[in-house]
Amino acid sequence: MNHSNSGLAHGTSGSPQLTLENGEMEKKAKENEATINNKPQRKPIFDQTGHVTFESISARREHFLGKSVSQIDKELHKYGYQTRIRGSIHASSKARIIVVTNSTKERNISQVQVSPKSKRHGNVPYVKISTTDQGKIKIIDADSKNYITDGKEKAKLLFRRKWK
Amino acid sequence: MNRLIIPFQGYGEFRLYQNIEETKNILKNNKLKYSVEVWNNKECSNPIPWTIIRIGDSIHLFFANDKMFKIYLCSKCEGSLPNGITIGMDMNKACEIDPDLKYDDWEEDYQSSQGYWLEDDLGSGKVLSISIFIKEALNEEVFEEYKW
Repeated sequence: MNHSNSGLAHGTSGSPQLTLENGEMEKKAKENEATINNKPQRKPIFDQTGHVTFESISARREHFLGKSVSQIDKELHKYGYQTRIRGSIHASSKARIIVVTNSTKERNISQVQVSPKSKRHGNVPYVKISTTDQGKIKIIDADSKNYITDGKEKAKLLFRRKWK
Repeated sequence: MNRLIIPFQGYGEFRLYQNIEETKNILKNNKLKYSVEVWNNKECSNPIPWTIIRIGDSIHLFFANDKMFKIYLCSKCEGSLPNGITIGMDMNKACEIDPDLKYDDWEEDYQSSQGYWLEDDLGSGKVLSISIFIKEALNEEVFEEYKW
């Protein structure tokens, strides 16, 4: 089709174009900026040495939820961790434990427990990470209202967030 | 059935190290209904399957290599440890009876050097479950070799 004499801009093929007035454009830009600001920070969980902090896990806590023990184990291996996976002898559920066999000052995760449900806490799944310098961090795949606790847990609790 | 829960030994006719066939015979003789679940443990470094026989919601028998390695008792299970601790007892009272009970923050249970683990009900503050197990379970590396 030759547009040279059609009176339409090139590439439009006659389709209607979205036009915004200056005021509307500014409004749209502000909306976009607000959307970006509301998104979770994409700070990496692990630094290059394999080190994690409470803040880095907290910022991307959902990354660990809904994953199998093998998927989490694979993630650890990317950062130089060597591991063994075993079943939890203590739990009544099918909980799995990743035991790190080469922890260092940098690779500070020592164990990860993947629990599909905990009767004691109201049958909610969770992932618990034990570190050599950040204490224990428990990421719970539920709202805080559905998690039973006596408030005496030493682990730092992180609940799944709801994005609006 | 004898209601004594004896650490490192068993509960009633259920004995630790017992095989699955012997256990099923006991269940048949006592006309107890049960279900069987197998965990293939494929993701584990030593992928030995575990078989779990569940009698109602209260008795859970764990097997590996055809040997019973743990008895997990909960809910309305009747029975007591030799020191008198029972399911449903106030957890503080259990700690008074056995001052050696120590809370393990990683496993989230109370562990006794006398050979049993207790879970507490966080809502009621009572004993939720009692587990007894083979001695090899006290050392995870030894347990994981399954040479018992």
